[in-house]
Amino acid sequence: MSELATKDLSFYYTKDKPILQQLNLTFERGKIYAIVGKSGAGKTTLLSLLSKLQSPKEGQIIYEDTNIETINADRYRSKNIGVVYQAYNLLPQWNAIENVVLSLDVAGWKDGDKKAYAKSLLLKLQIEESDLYRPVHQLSGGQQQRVAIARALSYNPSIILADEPTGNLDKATEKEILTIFQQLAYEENKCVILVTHAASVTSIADEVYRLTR
Amino acid sequence: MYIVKNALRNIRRMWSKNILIAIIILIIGFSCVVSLSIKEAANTARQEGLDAINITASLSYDRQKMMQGMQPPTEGEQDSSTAEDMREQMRENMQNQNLSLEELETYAKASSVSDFYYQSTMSISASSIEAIESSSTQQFGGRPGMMQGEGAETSSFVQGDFSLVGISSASALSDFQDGTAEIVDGQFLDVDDTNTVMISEDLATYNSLEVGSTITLQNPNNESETYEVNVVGIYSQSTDQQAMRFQDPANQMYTSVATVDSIASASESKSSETALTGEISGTYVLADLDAYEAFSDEVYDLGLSEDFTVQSMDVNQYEQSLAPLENLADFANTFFLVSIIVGGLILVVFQFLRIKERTYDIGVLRAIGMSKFKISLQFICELLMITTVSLVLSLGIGAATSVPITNQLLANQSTSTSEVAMGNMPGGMAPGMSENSEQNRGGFVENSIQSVSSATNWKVVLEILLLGVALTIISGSVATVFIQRYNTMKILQQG
Ligand SMILES: Nc1ncnc2c1ncn2[C@@H]1O[C@H](COP(=O)(O)OP(=O)(O)O)[C@@H](O)[C@H]1O
Ligand SMILES: [Mg+2]
Repeated sequence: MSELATKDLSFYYTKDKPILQQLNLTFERGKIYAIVGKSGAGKTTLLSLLSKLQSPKEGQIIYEDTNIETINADRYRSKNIGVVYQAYNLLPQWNAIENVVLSLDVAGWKDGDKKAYAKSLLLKLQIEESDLYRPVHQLSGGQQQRVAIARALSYNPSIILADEPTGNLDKATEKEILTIFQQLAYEENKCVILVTHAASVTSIADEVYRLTR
Repeated sequence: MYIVKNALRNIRRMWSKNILIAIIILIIGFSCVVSLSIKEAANTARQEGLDAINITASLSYDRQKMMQGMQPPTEGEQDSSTAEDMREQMRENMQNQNLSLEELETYAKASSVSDFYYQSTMSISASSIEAIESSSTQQFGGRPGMMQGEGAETSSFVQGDFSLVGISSASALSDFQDGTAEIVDGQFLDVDDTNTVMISEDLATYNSLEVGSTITLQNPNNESETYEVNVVGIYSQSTDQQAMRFQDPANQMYTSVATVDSIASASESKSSETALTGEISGTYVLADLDAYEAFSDEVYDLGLSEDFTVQSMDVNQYEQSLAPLENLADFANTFFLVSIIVGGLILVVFQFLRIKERTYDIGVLRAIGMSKFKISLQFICELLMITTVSLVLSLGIGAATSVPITNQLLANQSTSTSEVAMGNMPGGMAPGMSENSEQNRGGFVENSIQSVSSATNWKVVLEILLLGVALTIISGSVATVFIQRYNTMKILQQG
């Protein structure tokens, strides 16, 4: 059984210019998927559909046997999937721990020491102790990427989606980040979906879906 | 609740911007507290003042009403009445202006009246003494100063130099009640006695009179007709209220109503042509404003003609004394509305800019699945905290300063009002009111309310509370509308 699947998925912004047509994709846990394609091919659009920022024009997206159209979008985003956005989308004035705890709060986590948990997660993702308490806008791109990943992981969703996760990073950092995704898929049994046009990312993927028009 | 926690965190993070909003709300709140307090002060002062004053009222002929009743027919309407008819009617009306003692006493039976007294004033001359002639006397009331045009018979009627004022009871002389006048020699006259008078110190000195002296009064229109009265008391009166009188008040002699009546009937028996008459004016004492208002209605039920109205110098005067405070209250009202509207607009614009600035934050919160409702709630929560703190502060500052501010404004206001009031001094007073009104005329400006002791009360607190809720709802809805219309897809385009 697939964790996430698209069934005859079609999408367009204007009728005369279809972006996605009759797409049938499956995503399973414990694997890394790469969605590739030229710029403008519709990669980000697909990600927006998978994360329920907008709805398909035709066809369905199935999450664990359920059409996501029947799930509350806020609930789906805050509990079921973790998205690492291209621009990270952290609260810039807040520190790393606060950003992670916020996601836990929104996901409805009630008990436990959320701060301590966030801290351990961030340390595991190689954020220096001294960087935990600085507003995230003072952190480097790689560090912010890691905080964004920590946030996406924190509430333990089964699916991790990332848009151009290595887009702004240097080679060394890129390698570290990709290692994290490999750990997530193979050690934590997550379904990892990476949207990219970089060959280095494609090379670690178990499956590559190419979007063409 | 993490929303409250995060709201606090955001306020702290954006301290400088929030302090600006806080100051705006503080200023709006302060303006509102002060203006509401001024309104309250005016209300309180009015109520307390009217509760405290002793109301005396009189019935007076309403000239204005009479004139209105005789207005010429409107254009197009055919009517036989001419200017001549109107003059005729007017003359007739003029003769009915005075109420008899009997009539006055009828209205005194109204249940709202707690006391009634009257004066009977007679114009008379004296052969044994001389009247004091002040400049005002020569100007207004001297022998040659006769009215014209009232008909041939009356124009030959000469006024005396003295006023013989008969009183029905000691309370009729309010000056002696409130201490403006006092007996310096002898005693206050007994209203049951006849042919006894109280004279002013000035008149006594001028004519070398003392207690026990006899004065020979004389009919100015019939020199052979004389009456003797005995001086039983000499009084002194503070002189600051003597301005603008027809006659020097020193030429006023007080006696009992019985004295005036006996002189009048004796004079009538000699010759009805030149008979001396007393002009009666009645004064009704009313316990409070409610009684005054009840009396104003009751008199008509008791048969008073609609041409007369109930007048009270005490009430008029009190309302005049309130004028500065009420002007201020009007001003405060306008000020309140302006500060609410301007302040509300500033706040809405500010809140809009503030939210716009935080579009990115909203996007982030939407991206991690926070509902629009909770995001709105957080913004409202932030504003509510700022508003609450600001309004509590403004209440504190306002409560502490509204009394001195009101008094300061009142001081400025009083100065300008009294200038206006002096210019607009009411003109022709009805005859029945002259005694009271003239004495009070000069005094009312100083009597106007110049300070208040309390201003901010629970009502103001409640109103400010409502204001806080209103401001929060208004600017909260700005946030909500903005957040509801936020398109979450923007998050992806930020990359
Ligand atoms: N909100 C939008 N409205 C209309 N057209 C859009 C919108 N977003 C993207 N597009 C168009 O859809 C196509 C796919 O865009 P996108 O999914 O961002 O491509 P990619 O991420 O693969 O570069 C592009 O031609 C783009 O111009
Ligand atoms: Mg893209």
